[in-house]
Amino acid sequence: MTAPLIETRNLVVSLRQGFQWPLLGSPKPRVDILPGLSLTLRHGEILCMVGESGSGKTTFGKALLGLANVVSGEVLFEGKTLADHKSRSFRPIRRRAALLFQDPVSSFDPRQRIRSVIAEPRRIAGLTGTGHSEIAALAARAGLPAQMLDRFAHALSGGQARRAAVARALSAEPSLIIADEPTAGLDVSVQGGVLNLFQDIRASQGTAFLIITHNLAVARLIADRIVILYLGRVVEEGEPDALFAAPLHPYTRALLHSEPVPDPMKRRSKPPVLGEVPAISRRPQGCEFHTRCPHAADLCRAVAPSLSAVSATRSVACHFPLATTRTDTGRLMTRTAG
Amino acid sequence: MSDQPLVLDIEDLTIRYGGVISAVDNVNLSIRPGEVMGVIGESGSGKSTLAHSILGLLPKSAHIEAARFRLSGRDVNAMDDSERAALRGPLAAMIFQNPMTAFSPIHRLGQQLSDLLWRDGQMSRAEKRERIITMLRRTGIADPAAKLDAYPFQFSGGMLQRVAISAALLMQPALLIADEPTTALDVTTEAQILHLMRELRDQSGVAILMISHHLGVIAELCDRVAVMYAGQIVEEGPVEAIFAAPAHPYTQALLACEPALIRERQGRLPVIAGEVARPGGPGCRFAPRCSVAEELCRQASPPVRPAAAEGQRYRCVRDLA
Amino acid sequence: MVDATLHKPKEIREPGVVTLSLRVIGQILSTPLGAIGMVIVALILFVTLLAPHLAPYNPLAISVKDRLAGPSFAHWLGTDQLGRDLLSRVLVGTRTAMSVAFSALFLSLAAAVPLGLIAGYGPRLLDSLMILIFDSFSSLPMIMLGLATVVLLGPGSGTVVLVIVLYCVPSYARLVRSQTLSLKERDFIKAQQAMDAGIARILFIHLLPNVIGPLLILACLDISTIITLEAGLSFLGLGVKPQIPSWGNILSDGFAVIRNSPVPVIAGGVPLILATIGFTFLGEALRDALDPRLKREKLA
Repeated sequence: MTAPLIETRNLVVSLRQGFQWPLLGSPKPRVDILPGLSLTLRHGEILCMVGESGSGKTTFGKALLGLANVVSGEVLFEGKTLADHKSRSFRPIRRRAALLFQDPVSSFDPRQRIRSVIAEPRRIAGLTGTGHSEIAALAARAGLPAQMLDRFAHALSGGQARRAAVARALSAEPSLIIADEPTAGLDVSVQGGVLNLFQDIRASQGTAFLIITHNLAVARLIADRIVILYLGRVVEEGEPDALFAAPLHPYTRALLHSEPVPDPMKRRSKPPVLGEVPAISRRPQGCEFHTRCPHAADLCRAVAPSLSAVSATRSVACHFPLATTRTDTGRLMTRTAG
Repeated sequence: MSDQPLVLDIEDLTIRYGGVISAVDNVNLSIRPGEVMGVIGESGSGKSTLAHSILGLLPKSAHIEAARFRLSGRDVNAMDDSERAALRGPLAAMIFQNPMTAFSPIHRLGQQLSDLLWRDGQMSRAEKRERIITMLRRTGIADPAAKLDAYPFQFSGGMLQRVAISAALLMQPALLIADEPTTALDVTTEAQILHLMRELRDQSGVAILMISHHLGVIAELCDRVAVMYAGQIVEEGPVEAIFAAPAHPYTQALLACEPALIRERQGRLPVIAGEVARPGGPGCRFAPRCSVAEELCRQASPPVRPAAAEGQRYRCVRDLA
Repeated sequence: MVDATLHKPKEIREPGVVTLSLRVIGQILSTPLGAIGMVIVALILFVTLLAPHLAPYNPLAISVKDRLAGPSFAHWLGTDQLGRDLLSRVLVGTRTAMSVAFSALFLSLAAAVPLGLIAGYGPRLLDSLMILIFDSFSSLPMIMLGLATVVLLGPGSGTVVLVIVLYCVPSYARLVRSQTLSLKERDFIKAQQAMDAGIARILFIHLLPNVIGPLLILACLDISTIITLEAGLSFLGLGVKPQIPSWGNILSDGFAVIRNSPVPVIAGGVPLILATIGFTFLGEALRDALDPRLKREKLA
């Protein structure tokens, strides 16, 4: 059994704090975006990380590349622990992983043509293969028409920009691609193309994907494994079909039921969960979800539940997980079951 | 249904930029009192241009032509800018995608909301305050009296969208235009806002024009839906009929691409190949991407014909009925 | 690939470097003020390059018998109190003004760009320290700074250049720093970090080209201030050496004999005013042509 590609143990990421003179003024409290995240990402798997705003999903993706303020915890890359949390220590991961930003156009230098944008990872790594034909081949693999290579970023359409970003990611032959909201802002008619591309890359290269999204329907179709985050904590983890069939965490169920279903015959009579995600600076005591949870008890308000395995592929962080027998079929699942 | 005039009655609306490109082409749209009309379309479909034209919010370079353009029976076509501006509020009000930018950041919410009641000059300050508080409570704002002294940045996005809806409804419009009102919100909040909009429609009878790219949002809220593609309405009808039996190939393809409607995890996800064609030229605008296009589609402009369900019409050369 | 074959994408001509600069020049010429500025600046540059060939006389040749002659066919602008041909002195003075201005600008930019990049991209403590120094310099009145430097080093062209550099570097470095600070939070710089790009690559390939545009606009607007500063110092006798023709020296000499003839003062003053107007107009037109916000509005 080989070591997983990436593993984090109790990773804590907080907001950067301003400079504070010693002994002057009361110290500002530390605000954690991720209060301790443990997660394993295996070689060649597609892991979808799902959560709403404030869930820390984007921060986690950046933290893996040393682009976030990691305070404590361990990061293991291919079984080797990174020395510390300084930006430099993340270099082994940076060389083997590529990040797709939520807004691809903003991640390209506005003064560079797409051709040299795509060649950049190879130039940085000192690799060959930055000639016209090699870059055109990369673009073709990502489904980007060759005539787009001489354009600047702002002249691409949303789908083309996405493909250019994928071509750039591919140019360093990564073993992991972290995709932040890869379908956000894309029309339904083209987002499938980007997701198909991911699956093709995984099939041909064995590349692992960490897909960060708020779209459960997309996660259901492409993920090998789904992790649900709430306020920086994993509340539930499992394989898509099982997760959709019988969510164990009340928040997972609320998410499943909240997504409006494109079927006017299945309208909801009332919203599935009330209230909004609290600000991370006002993280609730105990279980983070208790302020919105219909089943919250005193225990939930006092003690935070830990993530515990239900089966080999399933774990949940809840004191009172929804009974698996009383299957409260997710509305999306009623369709999967046909 | 009743003798009341249509809340919105548009016939043959065409909007051009720079004389040539028509962002909205030959659109007919009518909304009855209390009806929720959805307009669905992808980027470049002209759905936002259509919505903005109703309130006269388009830039000066837009050239608007319409055979008929009426709001609650009043001819908007013949009005000048100031008359049209006076309609914003009593006849139609709008809420936008990003509630954070819909309010002035430096004024208290109470002030901004009571400014909207300028038409009701004879109303005293206490009465205005009372009305605002009632409206905020109806849109689900807890402890509304205390919130009047708050600034917009002290609210979450979902809360501000509720306030924006209150602000729009304060003016008692006959038509509420909502341009992607839940796109910037979290999905649990989105569900609440959609529920709220339906509730308010049921209580106050305000008609809603819902602009969205999200099939789920349209299905959840609307009574009727118009599907736009490249500036034209390609299909229109009762929401149940459109989702159950879409007639136009574009509507069919759009529904096929929706991830939430895909039952099985299959190998590849469906896409509509190609990109939105630039409007202009003869033939059907969807023809270059259509899987069943024939030679005729590229030559002649397709007619609008009735589909199987009552009130369902589509624009295609093929006859399904 | 499918969509490429289905229908031809609209032909978009990407702005290459040549077409870009041609477009910018066209845009500058399309506004009246920009066109005026462009013409004046072109004229000044023409004179600067060819001054010795254009000047009818040696600007240093003293001819006591012709002193303070009025404008005539032989001396279009007349002569000064030492009988030197004023037109020649004005023409060669243009070259003095421009060479001081451009060498000072070049040195200022060369010093300000690395300082600003370090302050903006480097550690925060260093940034605070550098901002403190820049602010201290900017807070000194310019003329006091000039006088102090001249007292320390003695008058001369080199001193004038140094004073101008001391005056310009803080504001240029601050601009580079603030641009760098905002750019480094942008996704395309974050993307570089994620790709493990070296600091030199980030600074010189990605940050610098995006910073240089606004800096050049500021510099162009500053040229008129610099010319005035040089003339002012020379007028006070603290600038370039008295015998070297410069607008400030012409003004200073003319001021002494203003009761006899106003021509020398006018001859020294008009080119100064023209140059100030020209560079200001050009700078503003350049800013309008390059400002991305205005450009975006035109696209929309």
